[in-house]
Amino acid sequence: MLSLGCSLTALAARRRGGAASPASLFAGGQPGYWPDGYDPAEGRLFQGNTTPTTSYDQAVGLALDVSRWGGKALAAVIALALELRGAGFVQTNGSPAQLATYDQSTGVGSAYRTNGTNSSGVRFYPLNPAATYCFDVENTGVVQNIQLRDNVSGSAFAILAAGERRKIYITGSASYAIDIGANNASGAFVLHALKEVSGQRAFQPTALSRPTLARWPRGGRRNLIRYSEDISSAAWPVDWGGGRTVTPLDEYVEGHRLYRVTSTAGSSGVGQELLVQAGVTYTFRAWLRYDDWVVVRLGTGNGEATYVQAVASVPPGGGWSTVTLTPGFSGLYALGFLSDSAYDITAVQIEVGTTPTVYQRVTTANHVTEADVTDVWHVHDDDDSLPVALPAGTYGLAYIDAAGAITVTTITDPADTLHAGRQVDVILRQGAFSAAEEALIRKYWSRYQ
Amino acid sequence: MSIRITIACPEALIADANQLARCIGYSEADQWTFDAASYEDASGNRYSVPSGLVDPAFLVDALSPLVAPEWGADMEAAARAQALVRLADPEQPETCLAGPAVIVAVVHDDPALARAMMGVVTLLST
Repeated sequence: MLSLGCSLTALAARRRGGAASPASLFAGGQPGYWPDGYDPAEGRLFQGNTTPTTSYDQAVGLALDVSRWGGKALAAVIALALELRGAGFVQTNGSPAQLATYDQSTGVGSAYRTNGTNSSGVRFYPLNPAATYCFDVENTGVVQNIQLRDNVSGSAFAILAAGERRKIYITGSASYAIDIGANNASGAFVLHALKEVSGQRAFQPTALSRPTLARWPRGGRRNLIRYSEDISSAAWPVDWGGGRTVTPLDEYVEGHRLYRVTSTAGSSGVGQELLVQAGVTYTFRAWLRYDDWVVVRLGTGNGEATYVQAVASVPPGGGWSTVTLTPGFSGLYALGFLSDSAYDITAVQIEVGTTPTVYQRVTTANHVTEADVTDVWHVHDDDDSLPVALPAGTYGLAYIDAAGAITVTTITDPADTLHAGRQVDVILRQGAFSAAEEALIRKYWSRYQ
Repeated sequence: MSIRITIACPEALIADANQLARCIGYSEADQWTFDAASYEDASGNRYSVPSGLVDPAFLVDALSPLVAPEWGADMEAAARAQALVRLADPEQPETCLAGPAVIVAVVHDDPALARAMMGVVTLLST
């Protein structure tokens, strides 16, 4: 038992900061940036400048940097940081009926607001707008919410209910304040700690320029369909001009829920849009059951113009059906399953190639799962950026994408931390990587391949 | 719960559209929402086409009477841009097409498909 415990400790040390960890790349104090992946469970991702990113299809506006953490987790880094509670002082706007109070030693304070132009709270200034801070604050009032703002008359970043205690991470301003939002009300709080998170941070203040968190199976996504097991969702809008109804059944095939598609006028069925390229062969696979006929069609939605199609490959009665289609056209076209009666369908997969591979369940483009395959978290860069402020110079740059491809190169004056369309991890370190350092990085990232 | 919005802003309207974004966005930094016009339609018109996650209320705010944000904005420019906003209906493809005199917004969870519906392609190497 003791031996096992020691082994686990050694494993954890290598994971966090041992010889096998890229943490050693920064042992000389070189400037750099390393998020160590984008798993939201680590608590290092935020949607804007304070709201945590907790799942796929959420924005990543702030990604912390672990390069200065020496292999420690966020909680340990915060615990060791200098206490900055003493930076707070009472600030008053206008003439509120009461003034705020604040004890710089204990963090005990109060705030009062008469209205939007007459209020008093506790302001923390000057702080570094390029740094990330952790406010460990508790609302000790009975009723009134406590707000964290950029100053006592600014906009609210986070709101704590009465009795709530929370660690609020925030960046982007030189000034923060604790006060309250309701008129003619007072509130009490305890600031248990105010700490600066060491290291750089990647921060994107513009909402539509933030990447999106995603989770794909190791090796990447092959299934090009969306909502592959949610046939009645809005992601399957194409009805091919005839009209149909889609009903989920209380019946499952190998764990996949069946949907009944019934044509209500002429030949019809379900379909969705797909970006295709001329000359590329696509393989379609789904579980189908029907009495009459079903064809798989790729083309324009109303069937009046360009299309290619093939008859479903299973006989009436049901089973896994596979067909291949090679369009002679490129662009946004609809694919669908047509019939003039009714059919049942589930687990739709469309992929490039002539041979079907193991089914991947796709909900959105940012959430794909595959049985018995480990998930890999990553950020989807859709013309986005996640800027970092590093000293000028030559940097080693390494990154790995969602398909497991690793790139190691050098870059001058790096300003952005996104380098792959779907990026699993990135390391920026002043000075080019040596062959041994590159080997260390590749070995560490083999977990994602 | 957020929705994904993709917006095609013609190159000539970027300055006005950024004032609208500053006005209805979440912070002063949203004035940089529309940057390089790096997309092109079949006629050669260029667009800035950002895509991102927003609160559903964003759509209502974008079409409601504008209120000056506390960080200020050029409200005349924002109003000019707002008058040209069209919320597309993906069920009606013609409403999704980008054009040089309209700011088209498409709500779709896949930005690549949204841009294809807009009829724009990137000018950057991919």
